[in-house]
Amino acid sequence: MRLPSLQIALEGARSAVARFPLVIASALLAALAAILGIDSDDGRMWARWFVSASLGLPLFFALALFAERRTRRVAVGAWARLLGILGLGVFFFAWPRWSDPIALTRYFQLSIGFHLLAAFLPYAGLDEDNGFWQYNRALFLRFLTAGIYSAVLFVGLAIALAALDNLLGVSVEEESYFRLFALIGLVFNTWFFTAGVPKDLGALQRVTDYPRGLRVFAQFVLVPLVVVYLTIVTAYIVRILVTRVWPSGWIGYLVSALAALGILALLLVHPERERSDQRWIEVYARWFYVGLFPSIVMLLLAIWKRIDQYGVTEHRYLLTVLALWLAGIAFFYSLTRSRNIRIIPTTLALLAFLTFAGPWSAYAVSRASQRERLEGLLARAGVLVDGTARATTAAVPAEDREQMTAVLRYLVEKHGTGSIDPWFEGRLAEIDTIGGTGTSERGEARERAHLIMRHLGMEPVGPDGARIGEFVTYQAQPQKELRPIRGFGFALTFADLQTDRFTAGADTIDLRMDESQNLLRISRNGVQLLEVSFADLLERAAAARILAYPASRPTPCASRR
Amino acid sequence: MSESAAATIYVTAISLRRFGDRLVTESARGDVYLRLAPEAGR
Repeated sequence: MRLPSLQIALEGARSAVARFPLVIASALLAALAAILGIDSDDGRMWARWFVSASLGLPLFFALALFAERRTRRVAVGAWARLLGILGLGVFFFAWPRWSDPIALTRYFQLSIGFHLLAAFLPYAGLDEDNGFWQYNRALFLRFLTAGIYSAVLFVGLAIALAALDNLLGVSVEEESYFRLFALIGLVFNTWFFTAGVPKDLGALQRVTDYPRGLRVFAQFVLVPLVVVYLTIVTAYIVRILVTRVWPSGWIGYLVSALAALGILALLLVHPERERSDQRWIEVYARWFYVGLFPSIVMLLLAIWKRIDQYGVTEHRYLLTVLALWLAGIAFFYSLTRSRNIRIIPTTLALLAFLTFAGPWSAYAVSRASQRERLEGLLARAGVLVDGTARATTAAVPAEDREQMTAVLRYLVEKHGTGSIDPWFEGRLAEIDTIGGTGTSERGEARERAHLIMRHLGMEPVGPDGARIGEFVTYQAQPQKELRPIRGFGFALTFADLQTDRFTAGADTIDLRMDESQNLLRISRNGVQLLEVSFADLLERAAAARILAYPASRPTPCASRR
Repeated sequence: MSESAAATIYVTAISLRRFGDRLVTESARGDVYLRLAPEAGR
């Protein structure tokens, strides 16, 4: 029996491997890393393999098609691939040097850049506007199709696994579902996607068919959404002008969504712009960009205000770049009425790569900006004199201490404190006994920022002026020895030192904690009988500053009155 | 009055917070043993 469809599928799979060997290899490696990484003690190591390999998907895809289109010489394609492998190798080796939040931002930045690269690189320098659109249309639709196939396959197989587990008694670990997801989402999905990439990209220039569904989708879903968003943003601008309250940081999301939807709508209907019965597109194209201007100005003002007050961070830097890019795009299209859509992915990808590394990168600029802010604050407080930090005994305003604490927390969490080490004559690691000059995750970063603040003679202040205390828990090992109770009439266990009421025979016993004096007051029928002081115990616990006290006996705290 | 009541507390865990020079109890766990003279607090 012949199974033509299966043969076609196998042939497609085979030719996809031949055409995109490194893409499939990246998918296999990423899936392997995900499968081995879940439930592994070496999760971090596998995560590193996973991110590096998954970046290979869009990168090698772009390079393969670039080589295929632009050169007949095998060597050039091979060099491009080698360069790609080297680039990912650099990323792989740099990965452990970045703190988690920075590494994640960098990963997304590169991933977006590589995906955009795949959109325009095969057509870079070629005068094939229609081909460029048809190519991206094919990728977009194939991407959606692959998503549907993968989703159905995953859900189907997951149900089969659940059936094996529940009906046939084959034990299936919970991780198996994740492994299945990784296998389908990375390997099958990539394979299926690459098998559907148009064989002859050069021939796409002559393709004239346009799926009506795309225009309908853009016209009746995207454009109305854009109008709704634009109305909200405009109303918000009016509100700001009337109330004179600075725009909320949230505006960034709305303006970004508005711009993304509006541009996507324009990209989807691009080939229809020439048609005389689709005049609305030209009108939309112009007014969309004109209407975007006030939003961009407001967005830039909102970011500028934050930067002016709190300095540059990665998030603000990237948002600024995005807003400026939008402004440039809006200017360009509303002034020139250009129909060149390749500018959009090309410039965006360039920005993604430009801001990735170097002294002008999001990371270097943010670190320098925050360090400079801290320098100014410390100098004003008289802590930093001639480049050396000294503990102060003078009172520093709480707002300044709040900002110092915030900057220190930022530096510790994102970049480590190496850049301020010279203020401490290179001895910051001796002061910061928790993490030296490296990075720490959020909770520990807070502790380390407080430690440095206290070293400088200042009490740290939390966000919104919250008072910060050093939190210490003191514990005694539970003893196996029974406690003598001779001479006592009642015993009770307390879980927390809160005000509580108990009955003892006909009497009412009240326990009342006086936190300001660290006293426990015990009264019977409303008459105070005893005061038990914790002061001595607290002093001992604080002096020890340990989390688990090694003493085998609980600490008695007796009182008599 | 001095013999009217007595208590022993065994503290097995105590959490505290330091604000500058001041220490404040946050929570504690343990056992309280009470001896109450019949007339105390009545």
